[in-house]
Amino acid sequence: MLLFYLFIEFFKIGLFGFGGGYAMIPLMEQAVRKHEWISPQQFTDIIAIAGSAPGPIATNSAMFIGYQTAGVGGAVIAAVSNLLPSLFVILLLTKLLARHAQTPLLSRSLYGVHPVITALILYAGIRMGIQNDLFTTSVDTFQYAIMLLAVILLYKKVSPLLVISLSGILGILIYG
Amino acid sequence: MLLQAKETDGADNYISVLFGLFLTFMRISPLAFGGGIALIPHIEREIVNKKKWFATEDVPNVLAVAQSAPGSIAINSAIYIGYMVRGIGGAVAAMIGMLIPSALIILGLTYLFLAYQDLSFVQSAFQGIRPAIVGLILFAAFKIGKGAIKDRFTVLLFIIATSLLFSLSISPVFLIIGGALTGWLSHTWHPKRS
Repeated sequence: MLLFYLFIEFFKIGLFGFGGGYAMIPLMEQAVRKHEWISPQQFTDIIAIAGSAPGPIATNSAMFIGYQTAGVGGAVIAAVSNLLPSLFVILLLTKLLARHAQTPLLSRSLYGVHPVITALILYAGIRMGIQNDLFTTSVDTFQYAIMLLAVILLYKKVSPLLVISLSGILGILIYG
Repeated sequence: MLLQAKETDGADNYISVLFGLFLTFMRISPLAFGGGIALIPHIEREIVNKKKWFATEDVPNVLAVAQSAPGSIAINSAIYIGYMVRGIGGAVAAMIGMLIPSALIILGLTYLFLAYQDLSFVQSAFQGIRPAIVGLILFAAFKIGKGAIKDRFTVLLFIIATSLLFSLSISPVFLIIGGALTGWLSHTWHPKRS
């Protein structure tokens, strides 16, 4: 039954994750919360590990969540069901594009979807901050400083792996 | 006899192209640090220049399809190129090639994390990493928003979606479908905008 839910949820996440891997994080957060598969803090840690490994962050987190809830079988089910919608939609798109050079329906719909995705990711980021005690009054300034530093470094096009490693080292220096 | 020989030759060729796609994407995959779009130059070098599977003019199509379909841009690019080169078999071969290296790395990291997460220095490291991840997600919203929010209509849609999320715990899937419908309707009413 667990594998069945993993399949359904990750298929849904794959189907509605328009706009790249980060678009799937809010959907994943919702599924994980609904089924209580892992704690919010574990979810943040998973994004940290998925983001520091090469390869797509969404598939990485899907595999990690699948593995932690149902072992290697769970990892495989989560990854496969997360990928199937991409496979179907691309085959369909390629057929459509070959027949009608431009399908305005798609670009028009995406024009409305992308602002919503932006809101979803922003919301997921803020929720994640709240769950990690970032936006409470008792938080120490180091936490804000690391968050700001991460944003600035990413803006300067420093790779996520480097940003995550650096903040890990800062964590050991400050809290170790 | 001759025909038979030809057929096996064709099958061999098919298998070898699939294997070639698999190996090529396996080589590209570990370079996919920091999002799918960073992958495009590597795809261009391997697929267009080295293997000549694709013409340079077709590279923008890769990005267009990969960004229009749901899912990771890196995976979607692999699926599209594989499909264009050798049909559904090619799509699956390229996708699996793209996945295997990161799957192995993530399984290794998962194992390490589960084994050592209770060590005190790992815990302090994660205390530093967690706010950085929040920054990473907020930055992702900023990056997608920069391209997505470009006129009055999209600003309004963004504000409505954000306030719905913060006031009611509305389902993301419902919001995404709503966004698609309003985007489509807005263009039907104002055809000039497309």
